[in-house]
Amino acid sequence: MRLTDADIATAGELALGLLDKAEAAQAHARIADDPDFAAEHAKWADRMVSMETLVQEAPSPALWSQIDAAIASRPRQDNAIIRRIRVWQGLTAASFAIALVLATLLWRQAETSSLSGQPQILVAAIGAENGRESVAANYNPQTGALQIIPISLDTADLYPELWIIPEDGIARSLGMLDPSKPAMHSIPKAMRPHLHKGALFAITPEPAGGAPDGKATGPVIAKGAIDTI
Amino acid sequence: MNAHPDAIQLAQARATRERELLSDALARVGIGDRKAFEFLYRRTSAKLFGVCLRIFGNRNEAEEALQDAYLTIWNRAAAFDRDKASPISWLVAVTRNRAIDRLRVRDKGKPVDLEEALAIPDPAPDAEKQLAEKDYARIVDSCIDRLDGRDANFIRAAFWNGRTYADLAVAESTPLPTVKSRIRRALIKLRNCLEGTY
Repeated sequence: MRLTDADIATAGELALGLLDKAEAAQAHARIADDPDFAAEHAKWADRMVSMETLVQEAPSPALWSQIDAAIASRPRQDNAIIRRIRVWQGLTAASFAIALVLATLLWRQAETSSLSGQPQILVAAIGAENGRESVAANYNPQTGALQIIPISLDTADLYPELWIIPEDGIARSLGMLDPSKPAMHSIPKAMRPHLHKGALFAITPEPAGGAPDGKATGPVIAKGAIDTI
Repeated sequence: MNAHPDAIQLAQARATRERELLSDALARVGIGDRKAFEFLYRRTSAKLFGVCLRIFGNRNEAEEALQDAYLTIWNRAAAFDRDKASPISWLVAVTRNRAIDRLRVRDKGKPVDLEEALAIPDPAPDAEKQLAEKDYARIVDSCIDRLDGRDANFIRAAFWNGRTYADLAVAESTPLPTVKSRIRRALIKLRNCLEGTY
């Protein structure tokens, strides 16, 4: 796809950290779908570096040993997240049940006005081990519309990013969430096959604009499996 | 004075080779290869340390940021896509983003100084810079000269100091949408000049 001037500016704004959360989430989704946009985004780092006279200087020799020790003592983060999800057993029953009921009710409310067939609606209660974070979700596989209803979601200085983790165990970003109000998200076509019964939603706290390279940097603060109603 | 064509070709061949080496190393780091990670560190830490020094201006904080950056690189290497980005620009972007996150946490609540982007260290002699890089640096300089000075400063302050449109709007007492559209135009102009499509 040939990039327009507007695309070029947006890719630059994303690389420079100038987009707001919602715009950045959209732009990140586009990086996954559009190689030209992804390449344009990647080039901005080169451009910014070539605008400077950067010194090239060796860091202190001790630094490598520290880094090496840190990776030896700490398993790779992406694996750690998946293991954490598997280890997690019970969610707080109350928040889970409330979220699930809400997810169902709110979907019914939204859908009863348009009785176009009977789509198989999927729901999930995305909750935390300690019961504090809880988010209800319902998803229409026919339209790719994902409704997110945050009940309690606090990521302090960071921003909540939603992930889908199907059976392959790989977390794929579905974009940033607005913790303050319910919102409809349109799931990109390429991502839709991953949203099915049994797949897991997970939420991690991330910097503004989301995990920069599509890999979660924060811990999973809430998760929940997709189920049919 | 232009470089001899053979010298340019040689520099380009070296750059391509370097790109391949780093892409291969990153791919192996992505599957948890610590030897490849050490190779990558030896090959790129001076450059990425330069990025951190540019952002923090002192060795202590720059080293902490660099350590943080390499741990992030270790964790996320599997996400590197050699068809979409050059390895060095990916590494620079990861390093810059981690460093700016740290900077923002550190400077939360501090008053904004948009002139800070100008406070760059004295240019080091670039004896080690390759010919192709030098040629590109000349193009870059001429493209920056075509921009409004305020816009060029802000673009640099956004990347290197984590500045936002809101900061610029306040500093210039200009509505945010106005500064946003002005900077977007400047980004397009800069990009088109750098890509030779102006």
